Amino acid sequence: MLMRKVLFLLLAVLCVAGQAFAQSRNLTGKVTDGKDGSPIPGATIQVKGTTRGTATTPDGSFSLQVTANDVLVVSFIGYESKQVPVGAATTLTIALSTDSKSLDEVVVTGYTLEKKVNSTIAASTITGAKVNNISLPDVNQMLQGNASGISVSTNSGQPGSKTEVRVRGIGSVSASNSPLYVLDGIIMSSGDFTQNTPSQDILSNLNPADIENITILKDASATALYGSRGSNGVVVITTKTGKKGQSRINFNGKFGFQNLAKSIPMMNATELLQYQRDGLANVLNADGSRKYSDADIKKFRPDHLADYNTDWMDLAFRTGKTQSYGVNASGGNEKTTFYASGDYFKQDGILIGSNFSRYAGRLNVDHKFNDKFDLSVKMSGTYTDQNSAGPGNSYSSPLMGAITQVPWIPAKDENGNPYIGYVSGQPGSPTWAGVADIPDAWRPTLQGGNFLHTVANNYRKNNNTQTIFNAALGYNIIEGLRFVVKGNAELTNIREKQWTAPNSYDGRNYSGYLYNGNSSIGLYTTQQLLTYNFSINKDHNFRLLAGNEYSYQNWTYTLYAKNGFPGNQLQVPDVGANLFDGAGSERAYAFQGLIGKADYDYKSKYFLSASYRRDGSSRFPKDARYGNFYSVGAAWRITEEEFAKNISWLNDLKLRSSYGIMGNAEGLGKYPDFPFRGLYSLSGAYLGETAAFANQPGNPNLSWEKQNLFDIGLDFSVLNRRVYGSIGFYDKRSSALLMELPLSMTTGFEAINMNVGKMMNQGFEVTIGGIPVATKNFTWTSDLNFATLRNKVLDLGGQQAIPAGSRQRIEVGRPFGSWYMPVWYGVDPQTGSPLWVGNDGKPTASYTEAQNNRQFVGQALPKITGGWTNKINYKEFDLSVLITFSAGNKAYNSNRANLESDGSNTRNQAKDALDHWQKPGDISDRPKVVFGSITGNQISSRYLEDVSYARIRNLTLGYTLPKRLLSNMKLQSLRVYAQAENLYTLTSYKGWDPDINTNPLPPTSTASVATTNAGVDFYRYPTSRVFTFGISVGL
Amino acid sequence: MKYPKLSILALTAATAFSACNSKLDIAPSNALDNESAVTEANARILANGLYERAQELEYYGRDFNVVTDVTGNDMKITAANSNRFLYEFQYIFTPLTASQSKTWLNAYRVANQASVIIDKLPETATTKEYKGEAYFMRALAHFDLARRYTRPYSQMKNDATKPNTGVPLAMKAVDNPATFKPTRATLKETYDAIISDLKAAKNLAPDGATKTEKVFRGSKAAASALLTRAYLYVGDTALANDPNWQAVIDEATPLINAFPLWSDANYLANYTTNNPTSEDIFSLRFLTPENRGADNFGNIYLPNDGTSTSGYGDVRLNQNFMSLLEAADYRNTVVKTFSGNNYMMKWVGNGLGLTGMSNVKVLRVSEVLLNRAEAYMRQGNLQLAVNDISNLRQHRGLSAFTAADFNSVRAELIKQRRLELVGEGFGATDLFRFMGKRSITDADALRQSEILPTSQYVAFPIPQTEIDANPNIVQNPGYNK
Repeated sequence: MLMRKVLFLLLAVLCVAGQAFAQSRNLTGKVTDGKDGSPIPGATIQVKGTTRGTATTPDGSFSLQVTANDVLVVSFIGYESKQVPVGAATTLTIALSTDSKSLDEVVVTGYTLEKKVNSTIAASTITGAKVNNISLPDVNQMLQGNASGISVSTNSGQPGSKTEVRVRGIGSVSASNSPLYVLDGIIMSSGDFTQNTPSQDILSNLNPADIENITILKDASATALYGSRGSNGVVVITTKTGKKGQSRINFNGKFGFQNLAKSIPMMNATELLQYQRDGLANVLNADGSRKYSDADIKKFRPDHLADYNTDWMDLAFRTGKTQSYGVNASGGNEKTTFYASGDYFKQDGILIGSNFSRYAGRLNVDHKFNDKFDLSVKMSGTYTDQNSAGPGNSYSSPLMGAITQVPWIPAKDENGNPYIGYVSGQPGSPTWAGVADIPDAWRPTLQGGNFLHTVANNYRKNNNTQTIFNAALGYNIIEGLRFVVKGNAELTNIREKQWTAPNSYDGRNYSGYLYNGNSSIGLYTTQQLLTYNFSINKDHNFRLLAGNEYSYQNWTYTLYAKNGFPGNQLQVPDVGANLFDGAGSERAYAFQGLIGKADYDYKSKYFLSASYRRDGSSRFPKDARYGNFYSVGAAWRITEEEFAKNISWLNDLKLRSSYGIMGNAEGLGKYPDFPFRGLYSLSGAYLGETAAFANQPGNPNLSWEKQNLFDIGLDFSVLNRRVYGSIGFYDKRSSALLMELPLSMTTGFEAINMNVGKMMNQGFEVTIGGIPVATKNFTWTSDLNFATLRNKVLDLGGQQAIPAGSRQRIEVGRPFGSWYMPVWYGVDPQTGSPLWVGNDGKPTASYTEAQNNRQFVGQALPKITGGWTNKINYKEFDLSVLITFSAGNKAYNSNRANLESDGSNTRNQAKDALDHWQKPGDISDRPKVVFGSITGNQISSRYLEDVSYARIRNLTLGYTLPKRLLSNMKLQSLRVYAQAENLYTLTSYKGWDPDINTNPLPPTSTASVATTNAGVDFYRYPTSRVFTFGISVGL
Repeated sequence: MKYPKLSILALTAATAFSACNSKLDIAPSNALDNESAVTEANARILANGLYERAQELEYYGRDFNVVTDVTGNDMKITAANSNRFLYEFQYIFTPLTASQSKTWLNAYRVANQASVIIDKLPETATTKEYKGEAYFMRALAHFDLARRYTRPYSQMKNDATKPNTGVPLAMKAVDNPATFKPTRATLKETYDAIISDLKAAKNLAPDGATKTEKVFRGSKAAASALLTRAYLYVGDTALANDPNWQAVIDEATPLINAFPLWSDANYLANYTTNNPTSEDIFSLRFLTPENRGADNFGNIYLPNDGTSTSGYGDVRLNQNFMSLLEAADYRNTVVKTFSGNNYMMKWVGNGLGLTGMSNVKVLRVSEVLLNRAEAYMRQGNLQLAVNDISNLRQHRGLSAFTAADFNSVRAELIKQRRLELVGEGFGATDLFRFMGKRSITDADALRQSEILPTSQYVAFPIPQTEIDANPNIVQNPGYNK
């Protein structure tokens, strides 16, 4: 059967020239689904090599003029396209089988497109369909659990905020660890470009509905092409293009709601009252007598405080709505194809005062002028609108208010309007009548006012307008030799507006103030690529690439503020009386590189590849500006060997390996674009004149950070493709690490940018999938991916260790991001005192002694991450479950230090704190509560918690209308579904959410923990649980 | 056919696009390279940089003065607080507590910027005055470091020549920061360096003059005033004929004649104005660009009373201080009583509408006068000391002082220093210099224990980050247990 088909194909190819002379006749037939025999309406039937064709009618039949030598190419979305020679038949029934992924998977490197089977590259691909399932605005969040070796964590659950993605561990100490993002072959801007917003990612401008697939490049073969910036991995995103044939229009609608997945139970009014009274009773004078008598305690904390019982956490969080609607259309003919889309997305954050919406449109057009020239144009425009809640380190923010404000103060008056909270006489101020009988220093107040009032009157808005123009002109010089010139302009404008009302807590001393910020970012890239694909003797295939790339980014920003507003109604700078803050500057950087790649394969059995890139960056001094990066790779498709061909159960087995050197130049120091220069800042002022001060020490020897990456892997597919997957191992070694090396502060500087040290990341990446059950009506596929990470610091330029903040330490022989702090021992059962590990490992009640006996107590980087997807199809129903997991790391729950403070603060406490030591002989985890004493809640491993978790990230139940019903409605497809995200999390972590960003900050980072949450849960906006219902219609 | 075409194309592509090196030369927009910045033309803005750095939040921007006062005897923090300065108030600070490491850094930033101005700029008529200012600021920076991280000279006496009793001295511009890891000088060397810098400043700096804008920059007068402080601290309190006492008097007398004392009953008005007052010898001026909102200096002192000048209200005046005030004292205007507590209003603002942002007074003639009085007292010239004290009292609405025995004069001197200089960063320095005991008994003050003048806590610990980066530094005793 196979041989016959092959012969016919050969004949067809050879007889192309003779086509015109053959006789034509009418051919009728039917196109059906290979599994159930149902007809496929709208399937495209094309006569190969001509423009003749037709489409099937609603009952799947077709009629076409053909000649005997014609070959029909039959295709339809979701099915493998089939080529059927006409031969002598007058009727044909053509059965199409559904698309089998593994064989046709392509690997997109951004510069090249290769079939996965022919590639030496280690990469993970995520299809557009998976990406679109997630109801979150950021494309990064869609990567979580879907690809091995990728670790995704968010700084904040705020919609639109920055997500941290790490590919194969952390390669750098001070320079950026984020991967490169490539859109349609061009590197795009990523990260937070805002000046006055707690957290926002410019990537949230990307509309996920436009994504065809995402390929994550992990090994040297692929990332060496990105040379200087590829060391952290590359996320390659390809947008959809049109396909010739019938035009298609799709409509997607989704709506739902989200809420706080896990709350932290807080004390109520009576519980807190008892807790603080216990604390007061335990305060002792130097001679051991009680400092406060019972009468004192009754006076400081009278019973009537419990008259009000405000649940601040309930007031701070809400159920937010989420919705998205989109339309896309694609189609075209032999010469021109197009894809167009328009989308709207809106999500209300679960914290009051936060939301995110996005309007996006795209048009991709591909046009073939003739055999020589073709043009591809992609244009997209996006507008996003983000409203941020105040950052977690601000007292007036609902995030902090939820877990600090005491329940004894009412939030709203009888009419339901929120009290302002700090105004004289109001609940929350020291002069409120409700606390008048309490001595002044003991009156409970609302620090920061009432956040309900703040959120109702103040806002922090952020609008992004981003347009991306991408044009590529291709010239096919001769057979196999092609030249492409590409130009890309990514223009982003960020406008920020922060309004603080005159009567709000933050604005009270200024008569309100208004901050206006504006950032313009332009990223211009041009590429010239020459590719040459040719074969020698049919068995030796070559693919060669040579190219040049230049990119330039310009970032201009200004920020100014006015205060002195009369009231709330007019909120523009004109109305403010005084100009009281102003700043602005420009930044720019440029990259230029030469690229070369060569691939060779022999009979698709043995593969060799090599790539080279020479990169120069404006970030390095003239003498050390250029770096050379290269890679070599090889692969062996074992199943193509003769001995393997007879093993029936083995479908595909490929061994691949690569080695290469890449670089890193991103994001270092106070002036990330000029890390080597000794600089004096002129942004200071004194007496109304400029003040210049030394701000960065120079290092003229600064150069690229280098990474050596070795990769080896085995891709397999067995048992009729019922079981498939890949197992790989990587070893990534960074040297000449770009580090902000701490200096003696007697130099006037805190740190200097240096190339110092070596670090290693090693791990296994496993992807296994299978189809345990596949019958006519029921299929079950299961895919598991996980990756292990072993990170170790190998060298620190002669030093044994570098301290990183007050909780971590970078030491040779240990992973980066190792926790180093006093070790919590427990509570002394006799006295209730907190105990730490002291000298000689013995418990001590002296915190100073504990600080001198700090130990390594765990790491911040996870040891294993992964995801497990199960998909079940029964007739027209589909059910899929994605479980993501991460294990082996710890985070510092700083919130708990305040929530279980043993009496050191007067804020509200978690209900857990009720369980504490009370009398001699008690065994408890929590020490005696002593009002006003800071002892037990200082930095120690007491608050260092394991953040391993497994989470049902996505659970979707869908129903696809069967084709016979569809044809009656003149629709191509219709699917309805219900979806739950972050449904349930299994973890021992006591905070809101274990999915916090644990990527360690460099030692001298000035980034605020409140917005980066690097390893520390400090009032982090929690991730929400989302329920949505959606419908997809194809016309 | 294929290969030649390919190679030609490749070559042209390579040559055409590899000549882009110049396009990669991009310079920063808001900063200058070292070579372009340190030039004679920029002498003034570099000098401005000295004051800009001194205005950092953790230095004179707020923390330095607040910590000195909160660790003294006149202030308290109660249960109603915003979680600031608790470690300092309760004397449970450790090498890892952050607020001291930034103070250390900022003082050295000032010292190093001064060294660059002194060493790297050419000696011309234009740069002479700026070098004078630089000498003054460098001395001030080292002096503040000494006040914070070393024990009082009067306690150390002969031990002042022991190693690791002072602070590392930044007396020369550092060319290679990565290898500069100095050891601590002795306490005597530290003060010797301070005094020699001040003498150099007296030579080069511009003249100072009362009620002029010159008080906002270093000047001969400022150097002279700081010298009175330096000589006073260094003097041996057991020796009546220590030459330091006379040195204090010699420096102080011209200043007292040139800068008149305030005499108006509205004592507070001298703090809430943006203009230089008659007593100011050196102040740091804060204008709108230096506004820090809730982090302004005054905010921590201003009561949470819901008015337009409300602040955190964390740091309040305690019973020890209030018991010193007599009813007729003009300095009562500085105290605001709200809801049963007493708040110090010196730093409510300098009239620019930004709450808590004030001009920070670093050197005033009142301090110089009290320094001279103390020097007279140490010399044994009790009557001259009493004259000076009475002079101040009479300018503050009080009657003259009449006692003439050493103990009474000493007690009155301490009392006047506290009343006059409260909130201006003298609290703990004066307390331990006079071998006093820190003891706060207010019922609503946060729990803290008594601190004797011999306690290890009198000298703050050197920040742990410094010790980790510089293995040549030896920590103050008592913090390594």
